[in-house]
Amino acid sequence: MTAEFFGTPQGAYGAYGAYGAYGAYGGAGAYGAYGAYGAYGAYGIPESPVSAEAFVTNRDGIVGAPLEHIPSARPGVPDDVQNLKRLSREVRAAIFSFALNSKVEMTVSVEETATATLWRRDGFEVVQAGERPKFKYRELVEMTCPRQELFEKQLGFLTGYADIRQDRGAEILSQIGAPVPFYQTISFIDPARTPYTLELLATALRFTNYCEQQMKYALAVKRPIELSPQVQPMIQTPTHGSLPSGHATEAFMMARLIWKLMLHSGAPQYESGGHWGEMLMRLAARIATNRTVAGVHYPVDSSAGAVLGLTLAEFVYGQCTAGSWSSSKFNGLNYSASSDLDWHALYVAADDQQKPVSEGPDGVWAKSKMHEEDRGGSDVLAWLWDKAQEEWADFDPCIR
Amino acid sequence: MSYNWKPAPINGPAPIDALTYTRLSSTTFPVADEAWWSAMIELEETSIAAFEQLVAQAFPQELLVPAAYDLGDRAALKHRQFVAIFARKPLLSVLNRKDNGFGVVNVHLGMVTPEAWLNFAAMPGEDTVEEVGPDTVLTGMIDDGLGIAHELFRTGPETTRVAYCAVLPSPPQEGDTETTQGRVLNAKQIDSYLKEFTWSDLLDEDLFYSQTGQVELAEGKFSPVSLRRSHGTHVMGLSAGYAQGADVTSRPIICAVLPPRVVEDTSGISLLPSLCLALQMLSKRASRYRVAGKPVPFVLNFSYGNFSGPHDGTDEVSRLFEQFLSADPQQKRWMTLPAGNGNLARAHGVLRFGEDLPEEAELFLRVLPDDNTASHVEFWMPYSKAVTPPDYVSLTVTPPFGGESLTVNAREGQKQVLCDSQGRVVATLMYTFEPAPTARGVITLAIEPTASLKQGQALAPSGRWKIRAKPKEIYPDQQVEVWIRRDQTLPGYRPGGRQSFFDNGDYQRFGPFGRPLPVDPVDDVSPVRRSGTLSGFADGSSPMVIAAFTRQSHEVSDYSAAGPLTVTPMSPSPFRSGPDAVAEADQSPVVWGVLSAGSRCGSYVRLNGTSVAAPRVARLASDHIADCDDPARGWLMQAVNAARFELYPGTDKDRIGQGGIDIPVDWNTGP
Repeated sequence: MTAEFFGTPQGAYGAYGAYGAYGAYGGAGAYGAYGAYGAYGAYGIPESPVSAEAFVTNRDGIVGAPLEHIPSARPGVPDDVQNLKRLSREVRAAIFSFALNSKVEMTVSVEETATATLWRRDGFEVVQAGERPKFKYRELVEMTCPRQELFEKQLGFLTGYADIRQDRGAEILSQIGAPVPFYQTISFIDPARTPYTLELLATALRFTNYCEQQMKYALAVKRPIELSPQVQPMIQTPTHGSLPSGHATEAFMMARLIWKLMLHSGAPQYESGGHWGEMLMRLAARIATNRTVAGVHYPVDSSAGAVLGLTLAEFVYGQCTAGSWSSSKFNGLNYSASSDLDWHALYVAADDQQKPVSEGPDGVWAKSKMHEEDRGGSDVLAWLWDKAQEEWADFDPCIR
Repeated sequence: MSYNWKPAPINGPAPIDALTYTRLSSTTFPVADEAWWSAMIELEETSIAAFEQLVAQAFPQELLVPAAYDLGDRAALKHRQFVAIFARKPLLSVLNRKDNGFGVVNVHLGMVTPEAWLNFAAMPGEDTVEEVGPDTVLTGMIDDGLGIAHELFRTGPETTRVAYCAVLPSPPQEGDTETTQGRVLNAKQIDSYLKEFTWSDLLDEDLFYSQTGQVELAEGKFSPVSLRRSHGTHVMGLSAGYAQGADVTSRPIICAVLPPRVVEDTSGISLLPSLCLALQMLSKRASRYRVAGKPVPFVLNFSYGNFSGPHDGTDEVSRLFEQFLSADPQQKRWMTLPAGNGNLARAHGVLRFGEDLPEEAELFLRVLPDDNTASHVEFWMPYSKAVTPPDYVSLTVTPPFGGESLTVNAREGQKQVLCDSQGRVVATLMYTFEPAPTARGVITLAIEPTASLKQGQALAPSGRWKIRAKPKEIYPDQQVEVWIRRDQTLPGYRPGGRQSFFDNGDYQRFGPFGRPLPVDPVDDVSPVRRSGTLSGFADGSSPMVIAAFTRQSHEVSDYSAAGPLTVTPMSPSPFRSGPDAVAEADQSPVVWGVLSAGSRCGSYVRLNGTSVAAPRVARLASDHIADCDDPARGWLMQAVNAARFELYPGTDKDRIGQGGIDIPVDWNTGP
């Protein structure tokens, strides 16, 4: 699988990992969804000077005299989702990325610590066709960085967690890339069975990475390795900032998005009880915590990442379905140094609801609010969502 | 670096316990006088209350007797009794001297305990009676890292079978006025946590263990329940685990979690005080349960072992177990212990002298590099009731780089220290006398760590240390028993100690086909022995001691330690000749271990060792204790005959006792 398929994210291990995960399928020859490639490859004429010459000589041999009465073709249909199914996945990836990336903006202010705000672009004002669009932005995620002393105090967690590195080593190494295969142990995702779900997840991961990297860049939190020479991470420390944790952001975003597909599938086992949702979130928390075990993140990074990831999942879902959306705030100044990641403080899986207020020993450190949709949504993302959602629809029992 | 031995005077009255003495006076690891140590003392003809009174006069503010000892316990005057205390160095230094005037005849040092972990205001609680249903048998566990939330210890998603859990490695809980150290959880509290932390029928166990005191990662402390496989959880699954569907309500669990930092110290030198306190807490708790007004039978499993001690049933741990087992005469109490895993550890030697034997005996001690903890070798003299015991042997020690020491005889006041070129002590050879009922002299070779990250620390040389023993006043039928204390890093724990071993050239490790020899060869001349490696905890008269077998090969597992005991004061009728029986601990020589509970719900993992054999017997025992009039070991003899597992013919009785016993563990079937 080429990188173009997933776009070209700028440096997140998470998104890069996604390629690896999918690539493994390609390598195993099991990537049924991309069978077309395989079939194409089976003809055995890759692009090359030889094949180009073959096409040239072939044309010369059979082209014949110019035709004069060819029936007219219809023109292409502009800005229509019908076109999407005829596009390569790489091309669609670019279109989906445009749809999402163009909807957000970020501003940064610095007071006691830095605060980065991810803004959500509202729908277009009604303007004449071809005129300059007008729009406004609304707050999507506001993230205030903790004080430096909190990170120093949280080094205690890294010491404690370091003791279980040998126990978690295989997981940590397997989760350096986006750990899609781990989600496949809970949700029935497979290239042959759910190709559009994979395309949706890749789209959402790319966008999440786009946002989280900007957030990390804005807050510029130093990694544990810069605060103590004794952390000695068991994997390479990424060059980007520590808070929010990219793994936590992506893991919670992915968990929630998969959970939404399941919840709306009509399958009874998914619709009630919340068991799959709970398990997906436990997995996300495990992936996030493993980064602390490895020595590259503080627990507060994971908590901030969970806030961002859960909110972005709701945002992506809203863009796909033109539905409601959530905004959230993470206030690191009120986050307690003694607090580990506790995702239950942020989200109830059974209801798929973010908690309005998350309070710890030092005060309210996270808030969330639901909003009605105000002119938004994307046709192309809706097309992708519908395709993915179809893959989860349960069949009616056979009646003979 | 050159090393030189020199005599060292012992000022004042003779110390009682050599390790307590060296640890309190250590300049290598100095501890402030204000620090609180956990310790276990042995009182003679002195009540706890009288002891407290004496101490208060001379050392006010230096002693804390845990609230687990109620007024009755404190008032009781016994010939001898072990008591767990917290005390400061000035007091402990005095208590560890002969004729100290406080009624203390022995002192074992634990670890420095943070003051914030001690509730100085705690007072003994009321002994309320808890009436339970018929057929109830209490199942007890003491271990590190107990995954009490595992489904094998619950009757439902939000109902635990754990009636009581003392988490010692935890700060006191606010509002608990009855617990001096650690945190106590009862069933109601555990149920409440289970309910609070369950979402969509799934328990958030990370949250459960951090909120109930076992996991404290923010403090940088290690917790075994953070690992996939924790010894205590696995063992408790075998001894007291039942599937939720079995709906077992007649086997409540009472348990105690030992501090992992104690467990990390596998020499056992710091285990005793915590164990003593845990036993006292469980003992008091167990006595509360009644069926129609009668006490409920109690089976306790403790899957721990050690290499050292006199191995004659008189050591402190064995006597501590006897104290626990007889603490409530109305209550029937049984106990299971592992035989130990030191059969091939080369940690045991026997020195004999006589006409057909060499004039002197030599042991070569291999001390490994990168050993961050001290190594100890104990030379136990024969039992003697004499006021002044015979001067049985003299020892000299030659380090890898340096000269031979002057002799240290089995005589009070004998001590040599090995100093490096800067005059710092790196090894000590010292005689002490372990009072009755042990009544043996012991020469201890204490060797400082061979590696340290601490700058400027005196380090002992690693390599082959030569120990030479010459007979003095010893008869041909007497022998000196030698054990190296256990000093290895347990799997999953922070690296620290490396196990020293005897490296004599005449020790035959392998058989003709290259397989390790599990028994000493016939006519073996080597002083290094497999026989007599039985755990130093497992030589008492009452506990059931269980060895390990491998199911597929019908053999005793190679590591499973063997008797006999040292020639005892009770000779010719020692308490035991080795383990009482053998239970399954390995599926095959390739597929080692047996399955039981992992640290998290729904997980099952493999573990082997005699640690996992003992709880099988505890499980079976809990089904029979109520209806059996025999003592535990008498019952076990019958149980072996009723469910015999045939072992390879000719296996030495000192390794198998009454033989193999087949105990299936079916979690889905209740008792």
